[in-house]
Amino acid sequence: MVQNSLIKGTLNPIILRLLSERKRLYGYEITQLVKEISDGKIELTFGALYPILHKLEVDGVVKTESEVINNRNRIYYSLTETGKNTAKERVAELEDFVNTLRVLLKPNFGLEYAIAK
Amino acid sequence: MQSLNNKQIELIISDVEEARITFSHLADDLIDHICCEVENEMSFGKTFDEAYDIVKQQTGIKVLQKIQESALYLIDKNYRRMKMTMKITGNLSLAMLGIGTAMELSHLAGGSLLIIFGFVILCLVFFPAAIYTNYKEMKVKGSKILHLSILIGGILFMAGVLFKVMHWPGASNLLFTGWLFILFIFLPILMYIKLKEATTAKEKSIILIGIAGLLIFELSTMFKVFHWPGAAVLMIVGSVLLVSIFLPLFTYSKFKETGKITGQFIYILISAMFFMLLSILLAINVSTNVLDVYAQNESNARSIGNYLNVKNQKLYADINGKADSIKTKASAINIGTLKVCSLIDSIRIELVMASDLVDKQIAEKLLLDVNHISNKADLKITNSLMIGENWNGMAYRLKQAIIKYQQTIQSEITSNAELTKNINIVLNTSDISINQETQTWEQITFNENILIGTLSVLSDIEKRIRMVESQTIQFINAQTK
Repeated sequence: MVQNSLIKGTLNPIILRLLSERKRLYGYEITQLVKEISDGKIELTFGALYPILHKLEVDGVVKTESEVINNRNRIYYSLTETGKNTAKERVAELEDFVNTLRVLLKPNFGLEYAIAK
Repeated sequence: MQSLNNKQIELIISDVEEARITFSHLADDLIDHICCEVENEMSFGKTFDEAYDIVKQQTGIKVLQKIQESALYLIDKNYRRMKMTMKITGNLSLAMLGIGTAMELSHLAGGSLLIIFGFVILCLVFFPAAIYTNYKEMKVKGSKILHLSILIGGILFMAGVLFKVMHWPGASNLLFTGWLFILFIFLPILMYIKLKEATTAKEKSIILIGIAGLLIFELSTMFKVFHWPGAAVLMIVGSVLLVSIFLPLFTYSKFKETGKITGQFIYILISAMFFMLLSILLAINVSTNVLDVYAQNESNARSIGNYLNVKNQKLYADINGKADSIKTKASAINIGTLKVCSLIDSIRIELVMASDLVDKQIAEKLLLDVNHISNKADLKITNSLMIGENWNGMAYRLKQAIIKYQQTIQSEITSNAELTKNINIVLNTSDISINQETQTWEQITFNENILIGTLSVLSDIEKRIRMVESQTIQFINAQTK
């Protein structure tokens, strides 16, 4: 399990990345996908998920559609046109950040950094 | 994967509805999510009850409400600001009120200023922010009018309490309008919304009793403040309904429902107590308004004095037709009385001029009805003007004038020992020893007295002088027949 404080800032791009790969997803599906892909290391609680999804919707990054499945309303989330760009930007940002972290965490980064350059 | 049946879904929906999630489609999100979780657990061979029990541990009402709160917090900038404002100003105003009260009690300067500032912040910043965040969290039909009415009514009511405590004019109007909003708009709408939310007949009757009790109780405070008859009966009925019927029933049903006392319940109890306490304090404060008693005393003494004066003038007119020796005696008494009374008048005017910082003409006008004086409760004026720095203030001058008047009277009625004795008692200005400590008449009569108290004492002295005058002239008039 990864610590919550580490996950906090990365949830947004993770969700956007998943949405850009699939046409549409509902909340529970997203939590299961994250769990599956991360091999259970990252658990996205629904308490963290829905505030972010609603915030993205208000910001116009995602849109929703409601469908009745098994006698209950299921809300599907998908990226809007502008959301697709936002998703790309945020994912690129995160990748950049992860790369920077990797360099920072390498014990003999000096040499490798020079070679990589 | 196994799907839930209708009945099971309905159970989950009703549980989520209890959390009153009203934001956008969040309730649908949560219901679907919980159903999925339960279905997932059931796929491992658990029954619905077992599966829902496990899921429920992570999806209690509190958790669901927290999700709505954090969604609002993320999305709504205003909501975020209001929450922050609420936290800061709530603490700030409470601290100011507390420190202000402590300072006021120990007569430190600036106490009342601090109380006023604390009150203004509480009333105009914290209260609206609290109402706004509550409004954002609760979105049901009619909630806009509900929140608006309690916002306006609450601010008016609190401002009214402040005005009343500070003895500023207009308090009654503020209180009255505030009460109208709370009693006839807020409480009925609250009742309508709560009754609509209630599911069982028992719940409905509990709500009905609670709101009726609250309504009657508030009505009684209003009656009390405006001195309308029937306040006491209303107050008893209201508080019995609230404290001994509603509260036990409400507590019992809440406890039965959740099996424990929740933080929210304690919060409701405490705020209800504060509300009642404030109302009771106001009612008590007003019904024993000391200043009113002083003003009443003052005007009583003044009207008796005036009545005696009119009567005495008639006696003087009678004496005019009598022998010269009697006329001289009467005129000596008349002049002596006029001297003392005009001294008392000038003392009154000087006191009011100093306390309200007005000129002589306005001071005279204010003295016609002492209720119009602004700084009725002023403590410093009496001490500085009446007592003075070396005990040579106006009280000393008054004492000398009274003693001189006594001598004038006594020289005219030497033959009547009984009357002389009585006059000495009525106009006694000698020192008194209390606990082996001698205190002067000035100290006993005027020290640490508020302005309206001093005015009342002065009118009382004038009344006694008129009484002495009346008795003396009657005696002289009868003597020569």
